[in-house]
Amino acid sequence: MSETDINPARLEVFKQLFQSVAEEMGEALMRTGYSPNIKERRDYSCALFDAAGETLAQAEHLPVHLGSMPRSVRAALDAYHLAPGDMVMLNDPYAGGTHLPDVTLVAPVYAAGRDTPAFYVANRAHHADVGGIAPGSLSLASEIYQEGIILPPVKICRAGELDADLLRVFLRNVRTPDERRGDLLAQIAANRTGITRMEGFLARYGLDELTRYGSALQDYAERVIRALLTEIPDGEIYAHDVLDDDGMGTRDVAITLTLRIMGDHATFDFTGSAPQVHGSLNAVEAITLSAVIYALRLAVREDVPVNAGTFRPITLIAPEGTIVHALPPAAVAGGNVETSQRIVDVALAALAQALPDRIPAASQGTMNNVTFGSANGSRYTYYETIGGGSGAGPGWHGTSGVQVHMTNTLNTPIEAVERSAPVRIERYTLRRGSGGAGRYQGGEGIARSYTFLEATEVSMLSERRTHSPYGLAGGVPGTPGANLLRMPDGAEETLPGKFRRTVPAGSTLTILTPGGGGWGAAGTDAHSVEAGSTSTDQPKGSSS
Amino acid sequence: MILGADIGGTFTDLVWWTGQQLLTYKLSTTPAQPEDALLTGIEHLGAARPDVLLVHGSTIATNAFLERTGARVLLITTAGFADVLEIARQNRANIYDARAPKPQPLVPRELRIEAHERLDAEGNALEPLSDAEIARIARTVAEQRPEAIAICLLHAYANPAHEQRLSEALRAASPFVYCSSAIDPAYREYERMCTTVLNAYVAPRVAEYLERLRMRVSGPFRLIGSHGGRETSNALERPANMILSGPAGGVMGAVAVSRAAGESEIISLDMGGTSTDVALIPGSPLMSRETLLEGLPLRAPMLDITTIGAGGGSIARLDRGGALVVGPQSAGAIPGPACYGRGGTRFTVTDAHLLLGHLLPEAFLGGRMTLDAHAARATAETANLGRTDDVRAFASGVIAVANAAMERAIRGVAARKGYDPADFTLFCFGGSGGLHAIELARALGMRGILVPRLAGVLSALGMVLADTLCSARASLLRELAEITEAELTARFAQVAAECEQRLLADGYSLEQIQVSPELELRYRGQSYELAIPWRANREATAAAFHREHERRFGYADRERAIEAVNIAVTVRGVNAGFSLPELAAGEPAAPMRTVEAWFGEQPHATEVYLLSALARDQRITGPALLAGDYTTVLLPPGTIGQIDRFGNVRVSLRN
Repeated sequence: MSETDINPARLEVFKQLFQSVAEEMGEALMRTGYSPNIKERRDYSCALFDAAGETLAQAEHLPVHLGSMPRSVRAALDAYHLAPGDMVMLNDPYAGGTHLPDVTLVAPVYAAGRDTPAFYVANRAHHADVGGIAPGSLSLASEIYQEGIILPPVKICRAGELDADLLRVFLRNVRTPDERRGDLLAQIAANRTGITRMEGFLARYGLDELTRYGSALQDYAERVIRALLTEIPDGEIYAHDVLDDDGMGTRDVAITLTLRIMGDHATFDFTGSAPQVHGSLNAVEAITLSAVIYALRLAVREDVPVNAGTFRPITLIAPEGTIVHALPPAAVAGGNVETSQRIVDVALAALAQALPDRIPAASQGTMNNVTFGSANGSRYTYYETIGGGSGAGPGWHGTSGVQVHMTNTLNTPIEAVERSAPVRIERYTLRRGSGGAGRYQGGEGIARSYTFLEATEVSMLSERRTHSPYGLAGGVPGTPGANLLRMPDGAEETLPGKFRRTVPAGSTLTILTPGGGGWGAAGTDAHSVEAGSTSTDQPKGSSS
Repeated sequence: MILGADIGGTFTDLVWWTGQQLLTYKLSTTPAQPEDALLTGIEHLGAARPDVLLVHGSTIATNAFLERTGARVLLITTAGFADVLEIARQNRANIYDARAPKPQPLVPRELRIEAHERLDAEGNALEPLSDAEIARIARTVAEQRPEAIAICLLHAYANPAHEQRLSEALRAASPFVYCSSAIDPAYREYERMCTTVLNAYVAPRVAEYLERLRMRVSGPFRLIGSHGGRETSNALERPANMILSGPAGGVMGAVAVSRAAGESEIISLDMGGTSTDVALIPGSPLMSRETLLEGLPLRAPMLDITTIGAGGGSIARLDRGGALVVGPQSAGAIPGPACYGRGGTRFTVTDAHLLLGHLLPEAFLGGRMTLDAHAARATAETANLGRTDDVRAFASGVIAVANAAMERAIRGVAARKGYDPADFTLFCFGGSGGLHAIELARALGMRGILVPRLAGVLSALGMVLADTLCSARASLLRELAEITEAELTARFAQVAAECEQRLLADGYSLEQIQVSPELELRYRGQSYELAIPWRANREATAAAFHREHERRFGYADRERAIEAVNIAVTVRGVNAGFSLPELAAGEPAAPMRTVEAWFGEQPHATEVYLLSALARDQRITGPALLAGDYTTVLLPPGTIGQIDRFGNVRVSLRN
């Protein structure tokens, strides 16, 4: 098909149509979802795929799902032929998933009179618990079997009928089965919404037209990324950053990237990154792909869709057995929430050298995952993440107290926390001065203090406690975060970034989240940037 | 006698119900002193009389907010929480725009003062508020000399005592002191704080305006609130309720006209120059308790209206991937579309309609403006990368894209509420609504369309008809099963008492006052509530909650405990005695002339009718243009327009 057959107006019309299908699936999921994590924090993604399983549109964009959703569809298609009314469920990070709490459902859309699917729909939702050694399924673990139930691609629906046996097995393996059942039924409803809507569009526009413009939209997204890559001179760019530690003794876990630009094509080569670790910071390859695509999309300033075309100009090299491409049975829960942030930092550090006019300094680079529950049995569990400073950029200050990059969930109100758990929030302020100084200042981190009214078991998964979020172009790095404990007798200690600990009643835990890096030397007025001039030893950058 | 007036950004619309007939007038808004145009209009209608009640919606609060010309507000919070207003909810509006900042808080850091005091979730004082602390704060406030003061302490919804003591001590410092426990006594500190600040922020501007109006209007006057009702005379208690009053009047007008016409299930579409307001009305309008104003939350009972960034002024362009994109940038009212000839250089949706023959250049705005097709064509060629051959195809594409964006938004609105657009009629008003109605209704599979005779002044009509509303709310946060019916009845009476007093003071008799008690319920453990009418006993109310939960969210959990989060009452002063005037029988109007108009890719000889001349029961077969002073209805080939007894244009899309 030549480009001239494509009408620019119809291209936009179909862009809106496909997007509306994915969005409407999201509305159905949020509306019928059971748990606060789906209804309030909106921790889910919905997407539409072509007959080959390639993405056409994705809504409720959680960036961490961008690269991994098509792999879920691929894994489902490798396992089964999907007949009308069939639906495949999976969460296996080593077969189309990301980490175990993320459960994905894939279903086919059939056009009248055809015996193979014309499209697929899929949605992924973060379940608040999928079993494993600790409530929330996000604790310190050293192999995936400790993190919860593993679902390879399995048919949860056959010809529209729910497999009750399979559902029973799943629900027997989780701590909150009623909630899981409710959320899973919502996911099924969301896919059915997508199928119904696509069947309506098939009747209205016909299979040929939908297919033609689906493919044209992928070409369109590809053109936008190629145009961006063409702006970058050919060559190699090197960037490097580290994770503080894996919580199990391995420190300074390196992530190394060589970005090779050739014409309108880019290779992201992570050769040289550290081997996978004992703790749960391992990222599966799909997460690394998501982080890279997110970083590229951030560099495009127009409102363009992300679909299969976005991926075409990109080659990813992530060597097996490393922190950016873990192999079984590595634990992966933290790879999704923490390592994904660092991969973005590295990818942006590389892009900043190529496109210095639009890439910000490092943001807080962590999600500050706080989980706590009663030390005397499991009367309640509580989980939240805390925002921090975002990095300043060429022409703008960073934002204070905000979730960055791969996540975008909402906070829990203090007046809600204090009703649901025996805890008092003593302080919730911005950390004045924690943003890196510069021509443009990094955003400030947050200080949040919890006083536990009874003995409490606390788990923490946080990063950027020893290594600072980097500044750019002479900007100062952001202040790293800190986890502080004050015991009832007044004794104070600094806790590590990752810990699991039982504290007595009357203890106060204060989480200080990192500030964002500054951009440009303070006191300068210049808007120009030296490529590769970063202000700390990390990330190291050089162009050649 | 009631005069409704909607002071919008561009036009000031007036509708006077004399008791027998409706008189209407429309004139340009005078932005610097909006009351000037209002008074000119009142004079023109001859309604400057002490026995005429003026009910109006004003953009005073809206503009103070949008232009950030509100008051210098000082905020008092519990110690340790002065930054809650700036942290907001930690999320970002656009994940792919690293530059996008959070909305700026309306109170800067140096005006956020912390008070040493602390309540727990039950309202017990963990740390009392001392007199010395109050004196210290009063001194700080005196030094800062704010125009208005907002007070929001943690858990004040459970116990207002600390806020009230501070408020009393600060009365001398400012006439505008707002306590969160009075404005919005419900939990979730950020939303309550922001709502309290918003009220303080617009209060002095609203007060100044009311004072100016008081000096110039001879009769009594009332304001319309975002809930679609008339406010009592105490509008300054919650001045932020006026911020969304304009769109609310339109929805109330749509409800009145559609009910009279026998179409009770409608989706209203008010398509203006820069944006389009959509409301889903399944019988009666849906209410919402919270909205975001440019990212800042306002919690108040209000009509549930969604604004889409697409209108007649939306700008079309080809992006670098080769797609034709329309909006969200808009040419607004000034300079406006290229064809307005006011210096607009970008091709807009309105320009596209003009090139397709959907608008009559000399009859725009009742002939007050002549549209410049030449300018429209020139900008079309620029937007279309210099291609001159297929300008009309390009214009058709622009319309198709604008429709697709609106279709997507309407599908989203319906899906969120658990409804299907196919069960509704599209009710279109606003300048551009009639041009898009049929294409949009077809794409959404809707029953048909209705364009009201009074499309140009519908919002002002809604203000004539609006009942007076006063609502109040209190925090409960207890399990439904634990509260006795007697206790609830007493709480409802207590919460409603003040509103009832106000309506009596406003001249309503007891017979005209309706009290609607509601409970905001949720399953224990949930973090969102549904407002359910109180049915005088717990079992019936619980059953209604389960049913509504099932309808809205797809499931009910009849075993699970129900928590009563808030109680709310709406007290309504009912205004009777109005009926929409019918059109007298008359001769069917003949077409004024025939023009060439494009539908899809084809030109058609199209008859033009004067909208105001169409007779009751007249049928018009498309292609046709029904041209009004402020709106045009487009009937594509194959459609049949039917004029009903009120003069509304109706098209059925079902056989």
